Amino acid sequence: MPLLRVRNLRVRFETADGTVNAVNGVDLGVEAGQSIAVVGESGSGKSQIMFAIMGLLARNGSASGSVELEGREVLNLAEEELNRIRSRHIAMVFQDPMTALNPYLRISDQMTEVLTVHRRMSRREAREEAIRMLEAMDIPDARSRIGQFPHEYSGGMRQRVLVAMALLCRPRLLIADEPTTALDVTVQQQIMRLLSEARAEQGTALILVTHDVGVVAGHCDEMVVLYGGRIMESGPVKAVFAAPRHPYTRGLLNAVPRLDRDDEDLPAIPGDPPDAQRLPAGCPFAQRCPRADERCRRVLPALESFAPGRAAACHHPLA
Amino acid sequence: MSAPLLSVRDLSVGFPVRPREGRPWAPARTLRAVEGVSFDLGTGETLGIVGESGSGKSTLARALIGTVPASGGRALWRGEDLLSMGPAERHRHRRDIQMIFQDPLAALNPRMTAEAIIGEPLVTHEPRLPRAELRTRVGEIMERVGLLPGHLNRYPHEFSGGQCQRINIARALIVQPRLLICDEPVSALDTSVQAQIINLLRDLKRDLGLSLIFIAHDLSVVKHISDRIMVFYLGRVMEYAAARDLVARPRHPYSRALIAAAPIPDPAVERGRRSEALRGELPSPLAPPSGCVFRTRCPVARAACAEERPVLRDFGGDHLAACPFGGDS
Repeated sequence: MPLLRVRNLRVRFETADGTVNAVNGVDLGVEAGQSIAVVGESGSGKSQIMFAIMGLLARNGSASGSVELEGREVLNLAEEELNRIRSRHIAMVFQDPMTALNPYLRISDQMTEVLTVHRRMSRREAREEAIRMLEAMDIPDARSRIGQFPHEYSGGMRQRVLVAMALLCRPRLLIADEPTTALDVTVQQQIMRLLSEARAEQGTALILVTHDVGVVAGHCDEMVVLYGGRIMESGPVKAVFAAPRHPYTRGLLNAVPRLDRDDEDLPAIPGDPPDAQRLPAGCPFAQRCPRADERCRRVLPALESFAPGRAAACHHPLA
Repeated sequence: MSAPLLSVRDLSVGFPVRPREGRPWAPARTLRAVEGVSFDLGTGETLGIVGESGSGKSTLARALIGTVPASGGRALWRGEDLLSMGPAERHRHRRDIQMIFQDPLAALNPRMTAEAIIGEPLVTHEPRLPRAELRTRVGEIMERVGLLPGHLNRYPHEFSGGQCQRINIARALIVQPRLLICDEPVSALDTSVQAQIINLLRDLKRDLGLSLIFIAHDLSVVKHISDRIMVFYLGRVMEYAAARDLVARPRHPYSRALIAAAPIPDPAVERGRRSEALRGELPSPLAPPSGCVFRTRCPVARAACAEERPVLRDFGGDHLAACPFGGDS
């Protein structure tokens, strides 16, 4: 039984301007201890999938389909039951470490709350555990700094606090939504290393939501490429990078300049990501795809497996 | 190289900062955002400036366009010092140096159409230009940057992020500047759109003979577009060299750390790179470390590094680094 199984997940938002179809039938499976990257650009639906799993969709959003955590359906559970699952089973690290922390509360109060509520520790025990976790996250002078407020921490330290908080209840699955996008590259390296170490030591599975294919290359086993709220391609990271099957995957991988090469040309993908309010009838990538024909514009390609562990949704896949 | 277009010598920018604690009459301290920066930029050249947040790279750009006052040094624009000019004199040169910013939508007035936005600098600098001519010029520049002429009457919110950045580029280029300063021009854009804008800037530079100052935190992007790269840390230049040389043979430990931290989008390569992450935090710019400002996080720092501020030294072939141990690896 996989740790997490998502089937035919759909997320839509009712807005004043009409319905936004953010996620349009996504399947996802995560095994215990696995690290899987969910790659996509803005509007691809990557964050909304995670919010739906966590029960954190905005009020005007609704999710349908199925999300099974260790065999139990958790989609659209009541808040009270969700709270039991969140943090013990799944925890999440968000993109912006400042807005994810309460500016009025000391770091100690924010960290020990999870422990006293979910692990029923005494306040003293919880404080000691929180200090140990901060030390594991390389927060210097953790014993005295735990009494400080979020604004007294640098951006990188705040993100380390969030990672520490997420790991406090030893979750089976950690969802990290662009955890390093707001950070400098040397700090990104620190955070990703800490995440990898914690994962290896605790056996936590990781879903890394990111737009950065460089981070995926270094830290994930499996990857899923999203576009227009659908999966374009999925498979092991090494195999997908070595031979992408979907033209969008190839375009995305080629569009990033590489420090280890002196390429003169940077093959860009023309056009812009699609508007989730006006998705085309056929393949969402057809408008920008060099291989697209009439069929692509009319008929939505299904996600089909073409090799063990690999799948792509394309009428004209790359050989 | 013939006479440089822009010649910056020992440029410094300081901000007075009132101490948070202490008596009301305690003297203000100076935050040295940029200190002692020198470089020459020739026609058609691209200077890349890379550094992390708080390194002073944007402040340097703002000092050059005059939106923050420099506290010392000179910036010679075709021989005349921009920093000591009066407002009227400066205005004459303003059309020569244009700038684009990180957030493409925030840089555009939401109540103006694309046509009005792009045409505005031309109205400012050539007030007597006939309306028909203005419209033609706006149409031409829109086409040049890859915008559809049919979008003249649209408002900023009707464009995507990439298109908004094209509008910003069109607005900057309509007055035919010699130098375009780009401050993180692609970091707010989607990956697939970043490459479009980088390619556009490269083409424009080549076709129009523009000089570029390209500021970004992403070393891979900076290397791709730049002839020379300047690495900033805490307001000081750590290394300054030809782009490929700097990445292939970095002399400064900080440059090495930046290169090591930049992920390479290839699992076969990236998994084999095992380097130690830089430890510690960026020191407060109000109280920079003595001697070398990088020494508190430097993996090869020695006692001597706290004593003396290392000067930029030429390691051969115009490859400058501010580390006396830059030859050792």
